[in-house]
Amino acid sequence: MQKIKGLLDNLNKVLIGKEAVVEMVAVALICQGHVLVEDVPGLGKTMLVKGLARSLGCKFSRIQFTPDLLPSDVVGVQVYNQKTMEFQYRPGPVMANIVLADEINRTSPKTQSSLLEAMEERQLTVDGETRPLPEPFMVLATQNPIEYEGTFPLPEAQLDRFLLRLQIGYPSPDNEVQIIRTQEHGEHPLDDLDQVLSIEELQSIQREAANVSLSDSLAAYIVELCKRTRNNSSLYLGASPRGSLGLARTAKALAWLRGRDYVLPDDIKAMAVPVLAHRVILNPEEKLQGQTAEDVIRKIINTVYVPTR
Amino acid sequence: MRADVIKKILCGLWFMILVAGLNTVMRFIDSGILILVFLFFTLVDLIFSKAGIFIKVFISLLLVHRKYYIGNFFNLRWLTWLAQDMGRDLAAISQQGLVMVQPVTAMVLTLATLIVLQTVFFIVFKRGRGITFFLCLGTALLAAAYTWQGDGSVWYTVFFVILGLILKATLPLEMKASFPLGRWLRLLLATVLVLTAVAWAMPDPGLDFSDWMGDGLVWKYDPLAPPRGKVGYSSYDGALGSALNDDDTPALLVITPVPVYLRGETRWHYTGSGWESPTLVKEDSPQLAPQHLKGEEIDITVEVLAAASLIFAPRYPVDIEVQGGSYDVYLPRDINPVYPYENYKYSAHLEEGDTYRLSVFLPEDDPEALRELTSAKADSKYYSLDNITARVYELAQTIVAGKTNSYDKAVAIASYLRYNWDYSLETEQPEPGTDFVEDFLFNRRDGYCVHFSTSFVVLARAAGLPARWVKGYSFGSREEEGTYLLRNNNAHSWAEVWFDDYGWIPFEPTPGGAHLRPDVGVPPPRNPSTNKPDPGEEQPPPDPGTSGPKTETPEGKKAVKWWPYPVIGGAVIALAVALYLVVKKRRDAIGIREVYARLQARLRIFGWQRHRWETPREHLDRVEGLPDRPKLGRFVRRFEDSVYGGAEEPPKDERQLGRGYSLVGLLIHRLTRAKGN
Repeated sequence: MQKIKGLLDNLNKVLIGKEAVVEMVAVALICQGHVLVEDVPGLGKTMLVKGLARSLGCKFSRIQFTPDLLPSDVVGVQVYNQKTMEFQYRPGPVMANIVLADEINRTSPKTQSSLLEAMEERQLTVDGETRPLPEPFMVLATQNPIEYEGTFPLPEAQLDRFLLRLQIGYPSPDNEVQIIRTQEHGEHPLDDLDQVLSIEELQSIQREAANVSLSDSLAAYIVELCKRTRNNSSLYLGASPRGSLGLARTAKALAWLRGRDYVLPDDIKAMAVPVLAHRVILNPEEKLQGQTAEDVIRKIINTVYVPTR
Repeated sequence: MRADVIKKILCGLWFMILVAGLNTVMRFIDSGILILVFLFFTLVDLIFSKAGIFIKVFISLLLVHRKYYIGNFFNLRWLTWLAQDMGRDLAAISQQGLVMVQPVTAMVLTLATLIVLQTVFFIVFKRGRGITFFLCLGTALLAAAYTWQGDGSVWYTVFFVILGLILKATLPLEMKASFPLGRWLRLLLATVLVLTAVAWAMPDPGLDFSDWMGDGLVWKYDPLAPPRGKVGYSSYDGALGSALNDDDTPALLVITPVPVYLRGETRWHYTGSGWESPTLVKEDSPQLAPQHLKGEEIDITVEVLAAASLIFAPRYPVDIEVQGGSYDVYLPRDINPVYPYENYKYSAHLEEGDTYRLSVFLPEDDPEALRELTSAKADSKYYSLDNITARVYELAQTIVAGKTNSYDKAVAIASYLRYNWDYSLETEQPEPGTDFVEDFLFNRRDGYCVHFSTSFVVLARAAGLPARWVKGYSFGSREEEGTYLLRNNNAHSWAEVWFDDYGWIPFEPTPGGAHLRPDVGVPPPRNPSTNKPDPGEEQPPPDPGTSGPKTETPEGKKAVKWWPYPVIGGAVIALAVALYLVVKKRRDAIGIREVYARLQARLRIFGWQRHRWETPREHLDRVEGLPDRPKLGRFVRRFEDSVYGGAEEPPKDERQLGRGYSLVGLLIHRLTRAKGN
């Protein structure tokens, strides 16, 4: 518990005033899930990921997705070593613990799918040879919502692979002033971060979080929430069972993070939007009226009865 | 108001319309009682969910008890009597229809129908079925009642169907939700209910609702209306038919093995507005009953509870003995040669506390034998057609058409009156110059016993039967086995028809009682009934020309037992203490989830409740101004531990955190907070 507090402190130092986002990232880390950050550039996504990598003392890499990026640029290539007369694997940037996939929707579906396969299978296949990815492995992908020109939107099946979708949002004026102050003299809070959590400790945390109890009534509550997305008139496609699974896992992780060994309905409500909103598709007319999937999920949360028995 | 509350009230109303519709045809139950029942039942539906049925049954028992055996609250034998009488009545229903049963039977049937219908409705409804079944059932019942008796239940049917369709359209109803009341408020309500009921059922509760309730509920108050008379025995019958107030001042206490009608006086000359008082002469004491009549002799003791100038006795007095007062026997000059004592009158000077003992011959009248008899040998004055109008005469011919003997004719007339006219004390005298009977039969169509009995006599004479008018007291209420209390509202009038070689046979044309079923003809049944008050006449206006006796009853002393009061008081206190102990024990035993639910129920009254889509914490964060929030916060944590964490039931102290938010406390908090803001 103390360790994870240190991690949160570290991340809060680099992403000032965004405690909720930091908490979500920690949830994803505990659940070994991947995060899709949908926000404009310059809000500190990279800093967040770097901070995470540094706090864990693990390898960090960053892939800037461009339209001409090739799958091999992601997963690595076999090159012929003339000395040994053998093909040798040169790992791509994805061979890291924490991967920041920047502007993932800028590249071609082929390249996207190479990354997404790695995310799902946690292994790489290069020239018929399968290589496991390091543990832990977590992808933080970003996509830029306002620039639609020259982008390849992620298909639903692939969006479903992200455990959470987060929006960082602009900092408040006070926090922005604080950010300016901390970086005034050319130094960055990232430089002061120490490793607070070892890989082994993270794995033990993950086991603990999985043991958090979820009562039957709340499991039914989760299912009801997901069910309502499936027959909601505003939604063209509802959340899959993977969504309810994700909601249960993240709620457990959040409960653990908040120091409980059982899940509260509050945990489920807090996780519902990040877990479900990117797994549903709005009806076109709702989209035209300015509705967002988040709005619809929030409405659903406010209609499903919370079990208190 | 919440939608489900409105819907519950609508449902209650719906059933009341059904019962009221059936009531118009069968005249089970006073409209005032019906409204009271509706209010009670709806309140019970709103406040109680599971216990409601018991409370409804309890209220019904009280109503029946009150209506049936007033003054016997601690004598549970009335239930046995009720069962016996109802058995007799149910047997009679198949032959005579509901009009001929005692009102209490009809009332029990009505209340039972209402309770069963409502309960089944709520049960069926919770199982998710529609109300179509009840709509069809109720409509069928009303339609059947309508075709059965051809009476005015059409509008009730229409209302019933419309309201049913509205209910159907506003489905689904949330019938489970009961009105949220705190435990103490419920307890308070239950206590008030019990105390009211006990006070109401007491022999002399000192509470008289009849003043403001009248017969049923009197909604109108007209300050310019003439002062109304009260029900009670009087000897003046010159102008009949004004509206009367109920009066339950005790008049006589009768100790008799068999309930009997007590006769006071008879009248024979109908004046068009009432009866002419005869001139009386002093004669010998009465003679014995005819030898050929079968029957038994019984002894009756009457205690006078209010000063009187008349001795009341059943049909065939054999001997009389007065203690404490004096009396003379008067007989009219034209004595009937066969049964001279039939026309007797005992003038007396009796004070409160005086008693008289009567030996009485109780004949067994046989309808079959009576059918064989003619009615030709009575004194000619009893055939008199004076003041009988043509319309009344024709009506009489229509009623008795096809009847071949005197007995059947008399029964036909009595049945006709009982089936077709309503009982009511809210009448008024006919316009001057209008015939009393014609006004009743063709204009008013409702009235009390004098309307029915006078009309019977007039119609019977028009049909060729010798008849006369009798007044006295009906059975009264059974105080204990063999003892009957006669009050002013038991004053009554009925009619007698002459049968040759037999004598005067009484007939009961007034509806609302099984006193004398037409098939039985004469004998008073062994069961008493305190049905609708059958008042004799209004209190006599000052009438110097009449030297008739009066039974003015300024302040009647009742045979009231003193001991029930402390017993009741003790019982109520013991009950309250026992209830408190039980409640306390159960309260300590209830789990934290129940504590939370009750807290929510209490907060709901002030609009502070948790919305159902809110988590307990969200609720706590949203609702500002809750008193003692840190304590509530701790309680909610314990609640979460228990519900979501599967933790053991927390110790009593922790559960107590959710208590102490009484309604009054919350109200004060809310008020002071509102002031502060």
